[in-house]
Amino acid sequence: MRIELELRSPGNLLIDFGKLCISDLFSLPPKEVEKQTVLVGNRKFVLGDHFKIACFDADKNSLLLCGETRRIISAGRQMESGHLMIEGDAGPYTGAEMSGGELEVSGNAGDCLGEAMRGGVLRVHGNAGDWCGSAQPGQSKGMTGGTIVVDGSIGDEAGAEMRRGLLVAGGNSGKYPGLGMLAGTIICLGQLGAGAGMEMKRGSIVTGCASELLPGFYPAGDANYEWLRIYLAWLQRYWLSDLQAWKQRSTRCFTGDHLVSGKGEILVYDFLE
Amino acid sequence: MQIHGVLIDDTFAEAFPMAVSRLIITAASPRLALQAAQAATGLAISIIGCACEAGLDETLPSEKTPDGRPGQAVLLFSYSSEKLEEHLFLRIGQAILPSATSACFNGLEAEKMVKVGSRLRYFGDGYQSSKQLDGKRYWRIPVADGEFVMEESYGFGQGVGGGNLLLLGDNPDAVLEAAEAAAAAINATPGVIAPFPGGICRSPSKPGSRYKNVRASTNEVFCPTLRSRTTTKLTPDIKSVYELVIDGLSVEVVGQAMAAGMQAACRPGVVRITAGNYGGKLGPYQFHLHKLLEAYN
Repeated sequence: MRIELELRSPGNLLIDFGKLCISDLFSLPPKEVEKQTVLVGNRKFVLGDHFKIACFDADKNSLLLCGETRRIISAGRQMESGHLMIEGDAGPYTGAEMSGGELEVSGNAGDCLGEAMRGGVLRVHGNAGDWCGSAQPGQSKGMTGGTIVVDGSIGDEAGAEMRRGLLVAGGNSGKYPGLGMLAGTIICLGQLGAGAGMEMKRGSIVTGCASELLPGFYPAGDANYEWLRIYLAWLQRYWLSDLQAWKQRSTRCFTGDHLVSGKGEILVYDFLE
Repeated sequence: MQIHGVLIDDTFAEAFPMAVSRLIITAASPRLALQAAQAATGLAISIIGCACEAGLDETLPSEKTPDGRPGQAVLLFSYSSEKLEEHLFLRIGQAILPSATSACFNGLEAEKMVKVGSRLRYFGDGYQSSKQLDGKRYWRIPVADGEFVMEESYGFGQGVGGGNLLLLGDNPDAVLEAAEAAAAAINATPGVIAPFPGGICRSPSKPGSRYKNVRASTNEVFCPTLRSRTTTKLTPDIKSVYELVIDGLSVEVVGQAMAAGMQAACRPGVVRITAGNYGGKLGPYQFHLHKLLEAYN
């Protein structure tokens, strides 16, 4: 089933999709889809009040969100399967707690993209805000699985408390990427922000360029890591096409954060002394 | 049936199910990948004595391997999944891990998996770490030229073992050449191996022996020097016999390889091509030579 939701109501109020399970929509008849409730501001409305809805028969389950999509928060929260395409910018908490399926944003994404994500794939063609793939407030685990690929840059504290999974940014990262990271992988092909890997216990941060790391990170020489080639080959196969040059290059490795356990690593392609 | 004057017996090769795994070994160069693959498939000739039959499968270009480096696929067969797991542990740990720049990946998508990496990781002595990507866990074991990377689990499926051809000829040199040509044709078929040295076996065996505790012994009916002392299967003109043993991932590929082997072996000096069977008592698969040639001609 293919569902298209076009936001048609004007205004500035945010529309909260937090209670709307995208995966469940595909099993509903079109009339029932219109009756699903969402929060607009602090009031409940049915989808049909604010969206133009069209349903089509299709082999694969997919949902298209279009219109002024930046007003939609928590789109794809707890999504388990299917494909969600957001044409335009996505609001905060997009793909939070998702455990499966594929979510694609053609524009930029707001804060808390893929927060506490457990599985599936999140693809953003623009930039993403702060706390991308991080833990929910008060929780100790950020991403525990899945893949987030952001073509552009990511904001501050990306991958904070990350436990597993893969977070990729084609551009730069904000401050404190991988803050308190427990495991998992962050690949930032641009410039790594300040304070990277602070208090990280394990896991890997890979970056195209970094100038200064925290004193808890010790140099461990240059190497062309096999596991990184596997990741780059996988990313090249499915997501990013121009990684051939990266696969041939060595990285400078720093282990840390030695203030915590020292089992993490930051791999830097171009270290600016 | 005759092809280029070579008689093809109206008989069948009898084969049996075997547990099989496929590994993809990569390294910095095709030569290093091949070296590691050869080491990993060493002394895995016959299940009778080695408990494992192994050989080289396809050579893989860098775009077909998980890490984008040159690769070599190998197939390993054994009589049970437990024995196969034991050999995977042994051969990855003792042959592939020490090979320069090598890495080892699962090459068989199967429902059943054996965990080998989760045991071998202890070689890292606490410095090992893992990565999870696309539902697979990779173990990173620090070694002196960097890291050895291997998958945690390797798929195993049900393959086919014991496909065979017997080439009988009146000119020993010509029969050997024909056997080499047949082995090359068999090895060119993806998904099969000919586990004997060079793909050729000079010692066809029969189960059991006149001596107790000997599980297999020479098949005297194919030995030219014993023709006067046994109920030989050799006509007076036969001076040499070579056997080709074929294991494969499926019945189809074994049949395809046998047909390719027969077609390559039909050349001057070869009088007859036949196959070994035990009247249907050994295994469930029967490869009828005439039917194979008709199907794959």
